[in-house]
Amino acid sequence: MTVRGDPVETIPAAAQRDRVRRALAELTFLQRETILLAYYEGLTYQEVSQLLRLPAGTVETRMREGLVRLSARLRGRP
Amino acid sequence: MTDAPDIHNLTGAYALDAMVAADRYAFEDHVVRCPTCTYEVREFREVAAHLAVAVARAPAAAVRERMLAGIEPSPKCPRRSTWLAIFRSLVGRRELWPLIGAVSVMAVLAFAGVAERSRPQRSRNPIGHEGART
Repeated sequence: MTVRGDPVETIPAAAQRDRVRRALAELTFLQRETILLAYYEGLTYQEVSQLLRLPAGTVETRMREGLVRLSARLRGRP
Repeated sequence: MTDAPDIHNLTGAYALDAMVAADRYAFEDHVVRCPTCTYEVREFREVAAHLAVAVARAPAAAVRERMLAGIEPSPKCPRRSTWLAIFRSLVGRRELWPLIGAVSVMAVLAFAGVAERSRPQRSRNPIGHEGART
């Protein structure tokens, strides 16, 4: 059995991915979904508001709140 | 919408590049004059860089539906289309035509040879029948 990839590179990358996923899991549903739809699906906040049937202002706020929390988590703040 | 009271709320959408061009320009006009927004945008861009690491997530429901819709119409049994594909690829290659022609001629000759050899056996039977009738 051969080990694929460089373990020195792969393990920190996997740990980092886990850290980001855990941080995402701690957000509220709307904070997470608005961010993921914008970031991974490339939608504008207006498109996200149509998709989730929410006012655009709510989407702006949830995105911002979610990013504040993610930033705190990823920088090691509680 | 420039400098509306809630324009500070757009830092997240801006950092995630989730704005149409007109909104983005309006926000950029604001952000150069607002240190708080400048700081937040920088902070959120760092978060976005972290998100890129976790990119391999399960596809969203809409994406999954599109993927499944693409899968369903494909044939359950690919055998016939595989033979058809082989036939098409052979016919499509002009350099193979002489070979295909030669193989066809040999096949016809071989069939004719078999038919020729089996004819006496077959022709004996009618004679046998005729012999029985007479």
